[in-house]
Amino acid sequence: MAISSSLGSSALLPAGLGFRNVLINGDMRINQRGSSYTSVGYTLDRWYMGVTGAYTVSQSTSTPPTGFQNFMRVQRTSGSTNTAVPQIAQSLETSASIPLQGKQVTVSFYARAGANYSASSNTLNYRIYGGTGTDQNVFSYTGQAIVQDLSVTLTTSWQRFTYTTTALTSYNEYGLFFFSSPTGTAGADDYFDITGIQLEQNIQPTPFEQRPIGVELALCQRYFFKFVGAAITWLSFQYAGTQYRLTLPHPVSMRIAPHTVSTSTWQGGTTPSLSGSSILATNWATTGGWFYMNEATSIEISSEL
Amino acid sequence: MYYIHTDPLLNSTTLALHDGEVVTFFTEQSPLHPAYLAWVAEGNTAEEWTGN
Repeated sequence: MAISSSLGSSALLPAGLGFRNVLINGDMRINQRGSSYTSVGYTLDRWYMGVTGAYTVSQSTSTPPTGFQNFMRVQRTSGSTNTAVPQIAQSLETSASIPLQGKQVTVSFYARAGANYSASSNTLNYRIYGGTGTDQNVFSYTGQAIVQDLSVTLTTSWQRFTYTTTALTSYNEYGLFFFSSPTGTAGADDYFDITGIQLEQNIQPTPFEQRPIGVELALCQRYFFKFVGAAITWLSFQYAGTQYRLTLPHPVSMRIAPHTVSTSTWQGGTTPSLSGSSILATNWATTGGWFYMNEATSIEISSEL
Repeated sequence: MYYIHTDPLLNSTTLALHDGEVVTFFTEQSPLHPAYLAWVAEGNTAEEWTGN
């Protein structure tokens, strides 16, 4: 029996049957960097916050929508009068954007508001941006243009919102962007929650694609990964007299050679140095030296957009 | 404070931001690079990292 026959009128073959969601970590399960975030930069994996001041982004497990374990909370600090616009976005790299050119796409997500959500009319806005550059962050697109500009009305209960666009125009990069417009003084529950975000090439929404967590983590680690000291296996050798070269096997191939590598001082007092894709531990005696990383020491490696 | 780390064998260099106990190495593709350029435009110059 043909697949379309067995699925009947609900067949959604234009979307394909697997890996429909071009977004990564749409269900907010992966959070390698930390627990909460208050400044411009990446937050939960692949999700970038574009504002600093008066907002906290966090991963939560408290009463998610049915079928989900996690969601993202974007909370305005209680008592704050800062009305800067909190922005959350995911940038698609060019290799994921070009297949969308000229296609109808459907955005779907689950969202709710806190009891003191202050945006006028309880509105949450979302946009699809296009850019003419290659592999850029949506906040710095070359030739940035708004492809779709939409809004929904939140309540304190979870709702699923969907929207199918007309065919996308031919940009080389797309980004999905959420924001609200707070007003007045923030109450204790001035926030919005969001999860289950899906962007698929399709003429109507399909259920959120639940990928195995190992798959989702690997997709995230292509852009960023964090090693904690206790979990690291090094390949190391004496390099040049008092130096040791330490090489970390990456869990997956990175999108590009990492552009940002961050680490804290290691136990034993050395400050590491970086050379190519290896780390140099310097100023150690040829015999009798020692250094190590413990649970408090980590290395963050980023190839993000 | 920004420093230049040099690999003496390869003679390659890497920019690094030292912020307390955290050291962050970055290239021109890093989102940290514009802040470094702004710092340089203010008349600052990264020094060579000479060790701990």
